[in-house]
Amino acid sequence: MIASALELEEPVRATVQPLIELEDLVVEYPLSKGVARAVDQVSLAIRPGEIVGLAGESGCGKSTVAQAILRVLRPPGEITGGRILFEGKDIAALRPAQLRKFRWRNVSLVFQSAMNSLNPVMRVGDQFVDMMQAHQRVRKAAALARAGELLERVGIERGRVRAYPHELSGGMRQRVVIAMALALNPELLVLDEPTTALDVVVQREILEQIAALKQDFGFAVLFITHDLSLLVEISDRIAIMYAGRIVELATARELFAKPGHPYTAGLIASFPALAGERVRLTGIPGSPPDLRNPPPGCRFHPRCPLMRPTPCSTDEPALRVVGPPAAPKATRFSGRASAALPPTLPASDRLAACHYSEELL
Amino acid sequence: MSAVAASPILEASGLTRHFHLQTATLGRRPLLRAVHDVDLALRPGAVTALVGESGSGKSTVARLLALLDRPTAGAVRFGDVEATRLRGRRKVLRYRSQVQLIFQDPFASLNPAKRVEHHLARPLRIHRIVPGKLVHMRVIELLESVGLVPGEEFAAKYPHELSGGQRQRVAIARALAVEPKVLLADEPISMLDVSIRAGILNLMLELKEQRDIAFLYITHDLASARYVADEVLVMLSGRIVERGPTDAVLHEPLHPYTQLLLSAVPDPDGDARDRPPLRRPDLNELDGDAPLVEARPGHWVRKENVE
Repeated sequence: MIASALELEEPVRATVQPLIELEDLVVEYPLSKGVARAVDQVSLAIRPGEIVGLAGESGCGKSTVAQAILRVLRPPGEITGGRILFEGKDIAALRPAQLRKFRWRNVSLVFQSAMNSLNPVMRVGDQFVDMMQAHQRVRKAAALARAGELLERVGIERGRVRAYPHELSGGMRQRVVIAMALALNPELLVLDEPTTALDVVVQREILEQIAALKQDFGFAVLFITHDLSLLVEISDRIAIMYAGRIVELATARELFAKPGHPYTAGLIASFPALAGERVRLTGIPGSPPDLRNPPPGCRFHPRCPLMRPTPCSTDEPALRVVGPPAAPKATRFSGRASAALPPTLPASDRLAACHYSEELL
Repeated sequence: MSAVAASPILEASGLTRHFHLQTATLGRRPLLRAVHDVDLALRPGAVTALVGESGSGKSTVARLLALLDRPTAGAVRFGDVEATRLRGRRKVLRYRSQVQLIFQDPFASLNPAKRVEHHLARPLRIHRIVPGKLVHMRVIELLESVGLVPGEEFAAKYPHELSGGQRQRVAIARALAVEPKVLLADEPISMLDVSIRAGILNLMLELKEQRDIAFLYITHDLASARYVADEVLVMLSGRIVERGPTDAVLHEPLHPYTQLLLSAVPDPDGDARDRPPLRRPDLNELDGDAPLVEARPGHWVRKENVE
């Protein structure tokens, strides 16, 4: 669907090629009692400099998408269908040496507990040096200088390159890992629940820093979280994933103003607001399906308030264009000058996989 | 609002817990004021939110109230009992059956080798809540009262067969088993998926309304505090810096730290570009001994030396 949507924008496409494109990606985990299809025909394109949010509940396959992009799937997980194209090249074809270069230099991954992945007996700066020297010829002094500069950019004193991880708070360690992920100027930063274990204020600071760094460095971001409220202010577009499939894709603003899928509506109705009338939260009843044996028809139908027996429990709805395409929202951070970015991203189609999207829109 | 008028069931005054840190610098062991001079009162049928970041001392307050730790100074009164004076296992046990704690991590707080039934039957037996042959029936009732229906089915499950939200419901049912008057919930939703947090918050609201339980809800999330709490206490570095009715504190935050916490909450409806940048108050600028003053009726704020 994404591919066809892009064809419609042929004139723009010539200038803004997707940085990374997932085409009908399928990832499966063979388990004792059947195969769990964690990612099922997911198509998603991220353009240079764009922040795309990917949200869904635990177990919907969102982290598996991140791991597939970096080719760090945990066994027995395996890509069994579709392609991942990075700047037009299939990453499945990368040889081990090329793959090592691809990671960190083209795409970096920061995951939730990344702050615990720092080596406790090594100074922070030395860990930068290690990583950078593994990827390029660089002198220790230069690597340390780069480390100091990046730490400063994420709000940590330059001198802390000499600190050991235990001397830093959780939020600072997470920032160190983000800084390290940016050391080799990757084109894409994949953040998998980067702030989930952190306090609200620290979380907010980190989000702001990521957005500011993006403006200066021009990298694209795939931001994965279960907390949709984090995505609204930072993302250009948001993809909602349920039981291995993308069920909605829209600009952040449209998605919040008028969700086109009942699952998205449920996620939005799950968190309380700070202002306005106090409304009873409904959340989403039930729990996500077993991926070894997803329900027939629409996978969300057992939990869906709009459900009708036919077609919902019989026909699987396709991800289709709903509503008119919209210009991307101006994010709060786009006020800052940036030479690295195209001035505007092309308009994008709004996609949803529900038989009754029109009733919501 | 009538709930706020009820007299407190659990009251702490001047609650203080200092730790001498083990790492000695130049022979002096620094003093950590984890909790310093905290007053709070929990009333039946009301939720008090204790809000602050990691390290603010909010969990230490819960531990002190549950007698898992003893205060350096100050007192905890439960009805007409001075809890901090209780000594001896039996007296402490009896107190804890009235004041129950719910932990943040439902993955760690249940024994993976035991079925759900075991977790609920144990407190029923230890505290002799019902005669032995009625234990099973009560277990089922408890499970269904926290929304785990059918109870028979859930009673036979092991923790790994449950989702995070279901485990937290089991933990709440376990706390309810001993028919407590007070529940201390320490970040009960922060480990859960957003989609199931609403269910746990709604359960808390039902419990306070139907069972007249006094709740202490510890969180760093002001939006959820607004949803469930009647009163909000904001804690910073071991001290309460602002307290008052929820709406007053959240709509007219007076302390710079409360303002900071509020500005950090993502707001899907607001226009983010109107938001001022975050400004963390400098702890050194805050006067540790400034008094709490009543700025408006019922709304107290620590008078710091800030503009």
